[in-house]
Amino acid sequence: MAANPYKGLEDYHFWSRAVAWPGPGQLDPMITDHPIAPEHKVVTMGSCFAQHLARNMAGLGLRYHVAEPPPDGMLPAEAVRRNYGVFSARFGNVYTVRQAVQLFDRAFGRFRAEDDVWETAAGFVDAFRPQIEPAPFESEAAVRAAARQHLGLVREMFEEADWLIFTLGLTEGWRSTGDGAVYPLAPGTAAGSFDPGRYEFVNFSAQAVQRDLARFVDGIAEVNPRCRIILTVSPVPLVATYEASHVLTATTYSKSVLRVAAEEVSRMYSHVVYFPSYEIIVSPANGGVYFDDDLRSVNDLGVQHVMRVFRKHFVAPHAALDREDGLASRPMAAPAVASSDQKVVCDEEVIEEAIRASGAARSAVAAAVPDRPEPVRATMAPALTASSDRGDVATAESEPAAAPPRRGLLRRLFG
Amino acid sequence: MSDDCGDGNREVWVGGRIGVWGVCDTGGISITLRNLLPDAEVTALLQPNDPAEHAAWFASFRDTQDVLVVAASRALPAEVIGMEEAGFRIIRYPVTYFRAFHPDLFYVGRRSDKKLIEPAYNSGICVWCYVNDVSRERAASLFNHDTYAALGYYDQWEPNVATLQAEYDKYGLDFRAFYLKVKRTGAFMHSINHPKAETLTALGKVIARKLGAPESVMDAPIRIPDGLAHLDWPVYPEIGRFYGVRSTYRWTVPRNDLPPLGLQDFIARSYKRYQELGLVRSDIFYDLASRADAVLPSLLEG
Repeated sequence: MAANPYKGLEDYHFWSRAVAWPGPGQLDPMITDHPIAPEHKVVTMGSCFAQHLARNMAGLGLRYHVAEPPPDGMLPAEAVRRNYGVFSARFGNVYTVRQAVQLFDRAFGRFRAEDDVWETAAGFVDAFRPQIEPAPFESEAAVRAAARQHLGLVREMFEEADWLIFTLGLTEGWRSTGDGAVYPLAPGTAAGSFDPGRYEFVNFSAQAVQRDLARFVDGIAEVNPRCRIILTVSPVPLVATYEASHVLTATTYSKSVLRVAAEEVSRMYSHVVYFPSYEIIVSPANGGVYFDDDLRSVNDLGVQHVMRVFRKHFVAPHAALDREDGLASRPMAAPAVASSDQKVVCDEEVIEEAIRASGAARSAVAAAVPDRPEPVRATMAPALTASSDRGDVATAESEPAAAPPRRGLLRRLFG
Repeated sequence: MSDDCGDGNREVWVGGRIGVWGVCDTGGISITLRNLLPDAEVTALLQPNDPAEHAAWFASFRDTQDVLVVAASRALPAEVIGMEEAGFRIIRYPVTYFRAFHPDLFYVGRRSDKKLIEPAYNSGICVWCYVNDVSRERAASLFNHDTYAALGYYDQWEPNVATLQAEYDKYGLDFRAFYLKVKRTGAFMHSINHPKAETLTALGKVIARKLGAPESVMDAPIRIPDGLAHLDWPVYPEIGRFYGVRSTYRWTVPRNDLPPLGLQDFIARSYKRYQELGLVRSDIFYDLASRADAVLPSLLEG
């Protein structure tokens, strides 16, 4: 008789023991430790969920490095208003991996976008971080001068970081038909105007995302060989899709592609590790309690669970899960870091706001973008298949029964 | 439907007379069983107040019940045990005791009169602070994560699960079915020993299974009145975050129209009561005492 290869495996191999059985809030899908030394500089970038990680770094006792701090003398409220400390530099949300590659290339002078400034009714904004300043710049030159300074600090961030935490958010984006520049927001939502001849929708394929991610990792290794990278996938669903798809299936596609890319790249490089934020939040073990009533925003309970697991494996390896929580309420060590009670800044929400403002609150985001062009899928279509279940033997689901007829409830007990 | 699909489609409903003699869970279990077992006659049994009537009451089971569902904490007299040995069916079930969500809740007794004080529910931290002359303000400062960690409040889940599982196993009840169902409801206890309605229905369901009801009863949508909701103790925020459940520092005041008490008011109310009772350190006993003595002084100094 052949030996059962699953016999003797650790509990985490089995769904019944590792997911179904642990108490609420105790799910821990991470199985390895990667201690970050207190003196290590930790930088963050990514989608809006990455802001939760960023604001908790100092609370974990880690050295959250802000390469682009507020100028001396700037009041904290003003610094917050101008998005200092939200991430390690003021690049705003980096939703797609292509954006990250582009940011890196722009910082190191490897890419210069043709269309980098967008006009609004009140002035000009940086097309790659259109919401970073509360008010537009007065001129295109002013935008570019600020961008040059910013990109210099981004370069410094990549060169000095000991750890980069990159939260992968989306696969959908808008790019220039000219030089392929990718933007965090569709032209015409926060600034600029939509011209289907100049911009196109793109939904990156699994292959493209994986290739971009590997290129990003390679680029960082080239300028900073000591930098280790933590990849994670944002559990926040798409606020809207431009695909001709239901937003839920579009979300599943997007997150699946990102998850596959993170897995593949973390297997390719020994200095890259995957952290399962996504799994912690969306796991059926939580029954959806980590989402707000909009079923999209991750609430504090969920964030605290993510940070608890992060601390266990990156800050206090080998420690039992005996430490809380309350991280978000702890004072930040560096004044340059965004306050924990600051609202997460999501460019994506601008899409919804734009729809509302348009007075055309329909179910499709198409209302936000005029003259909907044909979507362009980048390279090959995803080929995602369910992996085989390596868990223990599944049990047959029993047929749910209708409730038996109620028969004088409370009669005997309460008269 | 084939047998491979389990017994969910079998019409095996339990009949007969079922008496339920539990504790505070009697009502919830009785109503659940009535819902699940429409052919049964389920009676919530109340022990007579007069001890002189107890023997006759126990003896009546033989003629009035076919099955006795009894809380394991109930001491059955010899005649009932004799009935069981003669074939009378008794199903025992464990009283649901689970501290993980409310690790600071303690009963406090006095050595002098060997009685528990009232109200029965007390904050262990608050009691310790009172009898050790800690001011109310400093007592309030101890309600935090570091204190809870030092007192082992985050270490309660697994031992409580293990204990409960051992009891379910002992009485032949399906713990896994109970546990996995109640765990999904979040904080499934009002306090350390008062289950929420959903928990009682889950318990009632595994008892129904023990009585012979089909597996499908586990998914029956039953709603019962939550008769124990007034005995709710808050899940402290730090504990709630640890378990991913809603939490608060607000204590409800049972049988009272007063709004819930915040932490400061709760401590003030507790201190006032302890003063009325004349609590002194040397006269009281509660499970937290030795551990609190070991860790709280240093936390206060820090």
